[in-house]
Amino acid sequence: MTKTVTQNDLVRYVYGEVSPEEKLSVEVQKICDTEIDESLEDMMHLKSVMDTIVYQPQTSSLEAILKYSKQKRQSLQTV
Amino acid sequence: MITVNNKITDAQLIKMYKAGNEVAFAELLARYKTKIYTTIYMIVKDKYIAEDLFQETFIKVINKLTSGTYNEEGKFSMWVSRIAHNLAIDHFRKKKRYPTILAEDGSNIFNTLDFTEDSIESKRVKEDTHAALKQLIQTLPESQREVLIMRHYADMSFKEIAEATGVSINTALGRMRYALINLRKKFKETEFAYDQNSYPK
Repeated sequence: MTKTVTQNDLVRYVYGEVSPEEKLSVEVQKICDTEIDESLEDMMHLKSVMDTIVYQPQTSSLEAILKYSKQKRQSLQTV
Repeated sequence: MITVNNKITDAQLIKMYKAGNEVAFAELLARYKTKIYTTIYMIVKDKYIAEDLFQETFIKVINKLTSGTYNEEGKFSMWVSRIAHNLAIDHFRKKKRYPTILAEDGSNIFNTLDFTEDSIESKRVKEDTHAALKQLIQTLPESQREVLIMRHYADMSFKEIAEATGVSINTALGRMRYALINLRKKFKETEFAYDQNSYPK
């Protein structure tokens, strides 16, 4: 018998934090319950949009970090 | 020059770096720069501060990895995310500023978005959608926004979020649920309601 799925379970499902049994429960109830199906669809869609919002650091920051790493290495070698 | 590809695990890269391989560290940095910078920027909403905190994050990483005290049992990605998040939150709290809806300071914030080969119109729809969603995220109550950023951008588990914020896992989940509900509701109310064709499921 599948466990009743809560809204918190749906959030965990969307973010991949469910056990295989819980995953199955969600997927079964998704078929039978249109409200759960719609909630999941909305969450997944929003997640996919948020996934595309990314920012990149400037090249100068990356270079500064790599330079620090090399300098740190050198300072450790001279000790 | 040793070629490092992304099939090598983080743990292996760290081992190589500790043995003196700077290319291994460069690979680690390349793997996580987007996630870490995005996490920081979503919290502080100032690109100059985000750049500083981003550098500070990786300086802490370098210092720890070269000190010989790094705990190899932990997951590198969660560790570095935690450092970045803590630095950003500390800065945010010191400044006692709540990121509100900000006017964009120019297109250069968007020029990092990576689109597939879309039509100009489709790109424009996506840019507008991103702008709308970014602003909506900033309108969320602080507790919901914090959980959303920690889970979605810093990739912390709900258990970690609960520990970091001093609440139960159910509370953390509830905050995330309401964050998503609020975003969904506000998003649908905007004229940039998600275009199903631009974001195929």
